[in-house]
Amino acid sequence: MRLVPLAFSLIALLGAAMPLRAEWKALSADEDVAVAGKLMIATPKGGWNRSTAKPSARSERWTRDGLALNELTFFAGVAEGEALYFAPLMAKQDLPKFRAQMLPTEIVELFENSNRMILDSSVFAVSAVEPAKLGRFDGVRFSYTYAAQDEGLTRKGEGVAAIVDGKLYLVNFVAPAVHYFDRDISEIRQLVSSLKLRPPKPGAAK
Amino acid sequence: MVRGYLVSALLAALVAAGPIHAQSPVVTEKSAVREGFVFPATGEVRVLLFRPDIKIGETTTAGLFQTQAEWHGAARSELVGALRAASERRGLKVSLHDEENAALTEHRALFRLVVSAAIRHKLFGRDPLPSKSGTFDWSLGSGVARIAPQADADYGLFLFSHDSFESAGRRAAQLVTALMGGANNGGAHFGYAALVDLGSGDILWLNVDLKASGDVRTPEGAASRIEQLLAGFPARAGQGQP
Repeated sequence: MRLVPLAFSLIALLGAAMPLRAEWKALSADEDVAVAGKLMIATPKGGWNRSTAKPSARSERWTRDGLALNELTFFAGVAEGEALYFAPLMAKQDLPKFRAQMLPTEIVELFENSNRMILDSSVFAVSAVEPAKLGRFDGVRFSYTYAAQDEGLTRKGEGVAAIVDGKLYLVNFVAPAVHYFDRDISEIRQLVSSLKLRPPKPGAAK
Repeated sequence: MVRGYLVSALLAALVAAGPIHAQSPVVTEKSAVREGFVFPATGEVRVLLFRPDIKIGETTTAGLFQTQAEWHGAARSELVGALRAASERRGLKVSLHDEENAALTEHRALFRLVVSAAIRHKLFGRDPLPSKSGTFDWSLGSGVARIAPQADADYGLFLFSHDSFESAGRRAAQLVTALMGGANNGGAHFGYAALVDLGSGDILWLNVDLKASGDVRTPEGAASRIEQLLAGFPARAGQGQP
């Protein structure tokens, strides 16, 4: 006999009977859309939905089939001393904070350590850190995998980040390694490469 | 352990919160068919039955779920027999894939995520994705072909069944709760079944029953549960349900 926490399946099923605060809005295919406080302009293909629930004040989240199956998150204008995410309930420690002088590898560490805490997962491995463009700005691309507790499934993710005028811009895509990541990653790379960043002019109000 | 208590508390809160929001009878069973799908009008319908994914056990007084190996063995045997019989009654040519391999394990895990997404964003309509309006197009991907490449089948049938029976202590505690005016939630019995295209991995049909009945450890209960989970199973072209 063994004790089995059924958090995943039961909450997922019972949660279906509960109203949730987040609402979803459809995005039009091949049309420019202002993202994350209008600091980015993206041009998605069809089938994407944006959530009114945000992971932080400076971010926005999209999905096609459900967040557990594909999640595309945009962070824009994260300032010195700010975290990537809202602090999770009952967090034992503060989330790591962004610093404007971070090296590319430190940005990846910020993302990794933030997600380890958010996901409560120790099985989070970053690989393939390399130079990349976020829109027209120089940045860093990183790939990672992690296994969420109780799911029995590996997820793959890819992020591209850049610091512009001392603020962090980052786009992250994550999906199950089986089928969903490979299905969409080429499209995501295309979206990232054509992304337009609209950092506020120096001296402008936040 | 603390996590177990937290999960139990959260589940209790979810269940207790349900009636407050319910303005009409809560729908607990729903199915969906991929647009335009019917079985071919003629020829064999060859279906590979994957070994059912079964969770069965007892809810302790503290609200923890405790699996029972003996019950699992009985439920598995009865559900497989009932599933095979029900499939044959529907005119399907069935074979059982009873061997767990890496491809099946990873697709089972993906299947659970896909079903959770379909429940949340489509079937029960509480958190709808606008892009899914008027369509049911979730997929497991063409990797399903790796599960049983030699199988003589065009379709695969996944089935998940969960049964949590209350321990004697739990029943007593629930009785006290009910006498004090609280909700007596009883045991949890739910499941779902899905038909998958073994070539594309597309989910062709899905049925979810959040409030199933029947003791799956017995032949009668398992037969009843299988019929509940196969409700709305697709028809052949030009016919009613097979």
